[in-house]
Amino acid sequence: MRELPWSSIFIVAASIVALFTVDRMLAKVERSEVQREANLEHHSGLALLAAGRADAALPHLSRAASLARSNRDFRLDFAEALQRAGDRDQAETEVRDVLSIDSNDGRANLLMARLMAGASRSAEADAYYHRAIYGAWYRDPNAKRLQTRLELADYLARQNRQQELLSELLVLQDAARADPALARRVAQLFLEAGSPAGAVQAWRDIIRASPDDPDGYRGLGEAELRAGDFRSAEAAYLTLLRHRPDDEEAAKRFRFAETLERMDPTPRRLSSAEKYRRSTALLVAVRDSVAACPAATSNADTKPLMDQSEQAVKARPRGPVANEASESVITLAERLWNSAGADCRSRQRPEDPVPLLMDKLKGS
Amino acid sequence: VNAAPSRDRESQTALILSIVIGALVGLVVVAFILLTGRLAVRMYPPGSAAIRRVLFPVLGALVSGYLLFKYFPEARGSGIPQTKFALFLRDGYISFRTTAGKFLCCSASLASGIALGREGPSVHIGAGIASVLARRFGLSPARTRELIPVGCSAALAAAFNTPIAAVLFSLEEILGDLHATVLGSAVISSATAWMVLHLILGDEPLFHVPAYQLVNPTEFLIYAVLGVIGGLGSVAFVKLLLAIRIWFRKLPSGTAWAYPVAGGLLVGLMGWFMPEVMGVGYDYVERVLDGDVAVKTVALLAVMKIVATASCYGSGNAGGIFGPALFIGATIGGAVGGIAHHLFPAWTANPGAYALVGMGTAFAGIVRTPLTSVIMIFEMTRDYSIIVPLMISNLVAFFVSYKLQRQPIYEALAHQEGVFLPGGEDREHLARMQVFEAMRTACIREDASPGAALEQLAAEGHDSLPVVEGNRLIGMVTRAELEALASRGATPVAVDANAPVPFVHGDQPLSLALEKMGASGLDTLPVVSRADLREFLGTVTLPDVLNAYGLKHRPRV
Repeated sequence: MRELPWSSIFIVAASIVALFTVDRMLAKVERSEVQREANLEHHSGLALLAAGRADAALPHLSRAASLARSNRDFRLDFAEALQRAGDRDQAETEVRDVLSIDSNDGRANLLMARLMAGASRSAEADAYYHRAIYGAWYRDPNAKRLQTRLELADYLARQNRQQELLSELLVLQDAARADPALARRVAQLFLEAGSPAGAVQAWRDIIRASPDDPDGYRGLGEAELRAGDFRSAEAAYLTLLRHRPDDEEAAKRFRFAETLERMDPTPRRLSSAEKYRRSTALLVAVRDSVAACPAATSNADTKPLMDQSEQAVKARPRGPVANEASESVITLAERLWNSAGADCRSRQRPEDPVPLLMDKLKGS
Repeated sequence: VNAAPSRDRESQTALILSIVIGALVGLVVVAFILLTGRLAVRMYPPGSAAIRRVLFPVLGALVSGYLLFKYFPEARGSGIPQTKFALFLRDGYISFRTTAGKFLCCSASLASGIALGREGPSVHIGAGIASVLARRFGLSPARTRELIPVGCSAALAAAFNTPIAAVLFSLEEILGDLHATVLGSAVISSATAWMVLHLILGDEPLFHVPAYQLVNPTEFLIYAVLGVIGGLGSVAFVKLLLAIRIWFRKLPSGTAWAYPVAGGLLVGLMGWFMPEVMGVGYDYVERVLDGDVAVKTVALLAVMKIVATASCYGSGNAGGIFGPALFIGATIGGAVGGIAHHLFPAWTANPGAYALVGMGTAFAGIVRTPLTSVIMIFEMTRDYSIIVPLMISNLVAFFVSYKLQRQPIYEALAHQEGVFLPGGEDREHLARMQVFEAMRTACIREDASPGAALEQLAAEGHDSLPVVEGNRLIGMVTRAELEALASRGATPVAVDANAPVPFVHGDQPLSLALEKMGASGLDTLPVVSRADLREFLGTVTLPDVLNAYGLKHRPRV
């Protein structure tokens, strides 16, 4: 039997070991150099992105992402820059790629939710927001989940989807107890969700936690105004003015609350004559508001109501006024206001008392 | 008697060597990739002075040109033709000096920015390592030849990170036979090299490509157009390269060391304005695949790369054309896709999808291995969704390229060297000649007397004929057997019906009939049905086989 060629076997084995060592060393050098270059590019890109120069950041972040493919943060930063630069398709492709690796990645889902929201694909946006909330976050997960839910709430508020917003706010309310900034935002969002009562409660909780916080009274005043409790709003603004006597905005809102209080025809304590006077004044204010809106005056339904309003304003009842007369004037004011259309109603200035008074009437 | 154990031992050694070759070639190729990549970054880093992009290719070409001229003349070019020379002309012999020279010269030229690829040289290095190991372990020349494609598979698997395509390429291009017996060894070495690559560099495809999809069926038309343009680009590249090479070969051979500088200078001047044209250019390919495409830029780069690579190769630099083929294809695809997407944004995918298909298109058009190119692109990108457009585009490019440039590039390069390797067409033609084409109905009836049968043999000029009853094959009878029967006065012809009879089927190649005649010592063979081995269909004779090959049979004296 032939001898095994031991010298050849030894040379081959030694070559394999030597080459393996050299390769590992070269690979290590390459990896560290590539990583260093990727970090530099990423750093430059982020700096430009923070300066609002998304277009300039793109090449840097793109290079960083392609150099360090396994780094999800780099790729998602690149996707974010693409989104900010307006290249939503490319951003979506990039994020989908990350999601194909880990569909549970919280940040990737959040970015995708933003892209979907930007593309008015609300059903998908909702789904991705929820996946982001329940997804995996690798740094500070609780805070990230809270921020994401708050962002979802903001998105729902912009979409005017009040019921869904309200359900998100109820979840956020628990977390808001330990976070004053979040509590304020939640209180504001309660108004957006069409729940002034919820907002009032939220602001009261904030004031209870920090009674010397003037902004709490400002928020409470606004919430009380929206809730139709003008007297409580006055009280809140008054407290705010005690803390900040020079706050002109607060003084303006205080006077506005006083005006509303004076115009409000709903309090039970009013005499019949006073109620009638306030009802008529309200009808005049509504008529003037509607007349100022060209879209409403051209409306065929509005014209007869405007004529009726003119007659009701000019009418001078003799003797004691019955409650029914006031109610009929209020009803006429409500019909006229409703006929003006949502567009006209939403165009009212914040210092216009009519919308708030009509909201209160609607609620009552 | 002792030949069988010796063959078994060789087989075992060759099998073990397949694994060793896979590991060793994988390690060498990884070192080659890392070394050229890192050196290139140091020589002309992104953002460095433009003069470096001129200086280093010239220096690299000068150094590698001198080394090639003085010490390693066999290491010139891509390495694929040289591997085939070794396989078909030199019993698989590639010297250690050539292998080492290929590594050294290609490292110098590729790192300096010469616009050539690293995969062809890797194949040559892989084949060289296989050859050296086979000789070192005392294998016969036949076994050494068998290990050449094994080394090629390992090299390509490590260089491209495409283990399946590597095996296919070795069989389709190097051997020219997809059913070769070395398939198993090639798979083993390819898998081993691939594992080594993953062990060291991790699980990363060569290109990261977003998941592209067919947006609209009308896109097939655009992909077909891409096939035509890719095919034309491939032809332009091949013709230009061959023309430049011929021109340089006419120059005095004593100063051949300086010619690569011409390629280096040209690529350096191009690199002054467009750095992307330098080196292998995979970074830029990845950008194009990502859809980062400005149509004018990619179209210009496609033209520049064609000229740069053709010049570098033609002037005698060391390096391959696989990588540049992918670059050219990606840029052509990016340009076509960019225009299509601009014109029909709702019906077409991102230009990156076209760049991806374009890579395969140029590869099929230039290298002329359509099957390998489809599998290779699939493995490189790991994207299955684009495979059908890729196949369509590849075949169109292959057809266009075949029509306008009959000779595949490696065959044409070999011809320039004065070597005529077996081409695909030759093999196809030989395989096409079937037994049916040379079959006749000559036979001896079972009831014929030995004397009559001997007269028939003499009249037809054979030494043997099948004996049949009706259309049933009984056996074979030879002149000597008939003479013995005749001397015993036996009648009629008696043959042993249970004796094994050599035969062929009508659809088998004529070459097989020739082999079987040689093995059995008969000059005729019965042609039988595949459904029934005793059903006699006809007879194939040695003169008829030779006639079919265009040879006149010399009558027996």
